[in-house]
Amino acid sequence: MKLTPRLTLIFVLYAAALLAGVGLLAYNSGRESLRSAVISELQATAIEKQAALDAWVEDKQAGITRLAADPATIESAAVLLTASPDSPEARDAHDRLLVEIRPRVLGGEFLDLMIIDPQAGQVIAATNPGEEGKFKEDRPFFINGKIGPYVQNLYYSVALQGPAMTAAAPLRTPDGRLLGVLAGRLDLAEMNAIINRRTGLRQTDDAYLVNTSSLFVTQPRLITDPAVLQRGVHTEAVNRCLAGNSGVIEVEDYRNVPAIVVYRWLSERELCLVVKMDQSEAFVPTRAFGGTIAAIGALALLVAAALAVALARSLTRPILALQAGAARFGQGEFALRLPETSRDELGELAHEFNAMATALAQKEAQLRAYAAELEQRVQERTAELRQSNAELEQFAYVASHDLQEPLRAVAGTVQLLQQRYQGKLDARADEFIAHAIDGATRMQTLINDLLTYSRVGTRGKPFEPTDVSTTLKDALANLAVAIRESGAVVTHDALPTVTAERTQLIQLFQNLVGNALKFRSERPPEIHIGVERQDSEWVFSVRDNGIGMEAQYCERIFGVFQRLHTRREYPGTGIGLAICKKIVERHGGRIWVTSEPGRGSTFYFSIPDRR
Amino acid sequence: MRIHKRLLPILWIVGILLISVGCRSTAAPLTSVTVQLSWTHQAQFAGFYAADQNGYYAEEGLALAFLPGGPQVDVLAPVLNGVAQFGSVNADALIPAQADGKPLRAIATVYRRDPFVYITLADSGITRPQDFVGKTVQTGLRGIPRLRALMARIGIGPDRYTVVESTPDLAPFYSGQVHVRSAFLTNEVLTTQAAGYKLNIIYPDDYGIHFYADTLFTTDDLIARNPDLVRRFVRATLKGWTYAVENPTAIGPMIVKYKPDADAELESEKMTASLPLVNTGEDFIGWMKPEVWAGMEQTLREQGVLTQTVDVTQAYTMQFLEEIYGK
Repeated sequence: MKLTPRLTLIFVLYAAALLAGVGLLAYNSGRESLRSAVISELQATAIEKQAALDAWVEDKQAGITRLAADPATIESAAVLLTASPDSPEARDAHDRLLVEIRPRVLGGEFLDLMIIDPQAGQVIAATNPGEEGKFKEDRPFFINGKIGPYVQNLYYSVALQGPAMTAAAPLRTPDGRLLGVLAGRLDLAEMNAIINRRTGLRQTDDAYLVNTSSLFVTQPRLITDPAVLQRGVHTEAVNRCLAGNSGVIEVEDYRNVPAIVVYRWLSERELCLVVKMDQSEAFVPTRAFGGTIAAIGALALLVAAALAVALARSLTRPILALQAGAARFGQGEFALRLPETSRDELGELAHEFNAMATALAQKEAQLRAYAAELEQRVQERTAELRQSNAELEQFAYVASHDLQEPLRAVAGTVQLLQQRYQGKLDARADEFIAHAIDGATRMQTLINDLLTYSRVGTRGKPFEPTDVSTTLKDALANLAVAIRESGAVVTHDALPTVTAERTQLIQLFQNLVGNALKFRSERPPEIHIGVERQDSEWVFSVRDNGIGMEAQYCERIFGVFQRLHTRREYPGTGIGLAICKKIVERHGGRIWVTSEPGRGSTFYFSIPDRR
Repeated sequence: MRIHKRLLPILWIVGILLISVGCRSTAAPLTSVTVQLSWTHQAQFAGFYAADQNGYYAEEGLALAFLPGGPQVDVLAPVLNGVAQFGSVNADALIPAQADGKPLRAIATVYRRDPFVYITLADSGITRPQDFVGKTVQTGLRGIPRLRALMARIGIGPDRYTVVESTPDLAPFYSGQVHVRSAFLTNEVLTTQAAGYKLNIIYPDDYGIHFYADTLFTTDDLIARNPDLVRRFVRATLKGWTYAVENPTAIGPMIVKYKPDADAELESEKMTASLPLVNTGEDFIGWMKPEVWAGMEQTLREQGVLTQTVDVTQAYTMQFLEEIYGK
């Protein structure tokens, strides 16, 4: 991946991770604080409800106590309880008593009121006539009401056909003697109202009381059917609460809706107070908050992405410029210099690059100067060499050519001497003459060879397509006598046509085959001329089975006048292979030899294929 | 994600294993348990039905069979001779059994207020037992001691009212031939109300006569031998009753399974009517109080049903209720 997108991606990813982390943290802390706030609110509500409930119960207890302490009530009760039943006094007292207590019922403080005989537990006067004559001897409010003010917790009243709570207080004479128990049933609608009284503007908040049988004691707001003492509630919160605990829990409420639930075990009332709110509502602000965070995060990410692109570009732009510059420099724009605008590392890099470019340009110029100078010198030297070479060749040619004349004269004269005085002088004279003729003849051969050698360079003819096989035939024809005498067998491959000077090529083959014949071993010579195409040249080989030679001489033998044997062993001028070398080199080829003493030699030479 | 993908098959396998293990545990052979009911199938036994059909018994490893009762059925005998392991009977039958040395014991009670009430026509002006003076009261043979006890409680002797024996026929009551009739809150009361009569209902419970009805009982032997079985039975039954209290209208349709010709709607009404007796708002469903047991013994003794004092604490045990409710 290219640097710019990579950097951008890294920056954006980093920013995204950072934002997500911070956002999540903020969201969680927001949610947590909201949760705490909601719990606090619910707790406060629960405490307030409990306090209100306690106040209500205390108020009722105080009310029944006040009524029980009323002298008129006590007096009438005393008469009623002491007078014989159905006596006019009793009836009178009964009626007075009812007159006394009925306003409390009419005023709504109690649903009904009754006075209970403390011994039998029988109701002797009641605002509800149906209650008179009944026995309350086993009712907790009666048992406890004999001792002091008491409120019996919620129970199912068959008479009321519904839940009831009853407050009771002892009726005592001024001297403290127990006359009876005054009991009044509480209007649970009031309790219901207290519990259901709502403070906030919430939608799903609810408060209710549950008794030890897991039944609703007050009507839950979110249930429309009558639920009091008819409908059970078995939520986790209620279960925990009924086990005697108070606390907070996030569980499903009685509608199976996830809620935050605060529960309080009211041990005095033996009731469980539950205050709850749906989580969905409680966390509505977190959702908005989360939305805001997400929106801000997205915006920030957008900005971060833009910044990342800009940052990546600001980093990569000089690098790219550097790269382009380096590329152009590499393509030869040595004058190119990079802008050194920034002061950072990239600026320094550009600076270094420019310094390097300048140095490189200088070196380049220097190198060029050197090269030019060298070329100049080489050319001069070459010209000098060529000239001296030419002079030398000219000299050799002229020398050998001009030497021929006097030598011919000397040789002719000596030969005349021999013809005329052979046998007429003494034996020593004949010997001297023979020596002179031999020397002259050798001198002629030498000069001829030298002439041939020098002619190769100076008197060459232009190259033309030359059929090597006919050339070889001509060369072998020239050597016919030697071949016949030696009994040599000469074979050759199919030979190509090359661009060469025909006469020189004949000379070349003649010299090489001649050498092969000359340096033969005891075996009859077997000579093979081969050819092989290598790259753009033909490589010819002349292989023999002659005496061969040590590898160390393989170079030397191509020098002028270089011989490995005495003239007596093998006649010759020592110039033949030098001529060969010169011919090959004139054709732009190379000549070399591989050899092994006693096994034979193979001479190779190459002729470039100029077609 | 990759890890999740790799884990998924493992979770599947684990899940399937768990499910199969779960299946095996529920498929384990259930202990057969037979309950002798005190009457023919009706809403009076709602808790049993709910526990049976909601699988509460199965959860406790029990398979319930019911022996219905009836007018001629001895409820105690099958439990005594092991035909049934548990029974449901009025508590006042268990105390004389105790006196007779029958090794039976109450373990919980369904009706904590007596469903055995007295009804009068609303316009009769008879609203209290005190008003029975000079009137004709119709009640069953076994109801007579209770009536006597009730009247004695308010100081009215047997000579001041007339008792006639009950017949299923309600015509004498409607016609005013008998002024007061003993009735089962969930039976005759509903029947008469359904017939369009307005009633005054007089609860003996309001006059110091507290009788437990439909009390669960078993043998001392089973309690000693297999208390766990008893606990499981009581727990599931009480759970059934809790369900019945909270869902009275669901009871009617359940009864049809045991009594195909049952009137589901009527049975649900019966359940609704019995709610305040089962769920009094005090203590817990099934709970029993020593003073009530003592009171019952006293009442029975005073009325001559018992000829001697009975150690009533031997007639019931709170062991299982206390264990179940953790009290």
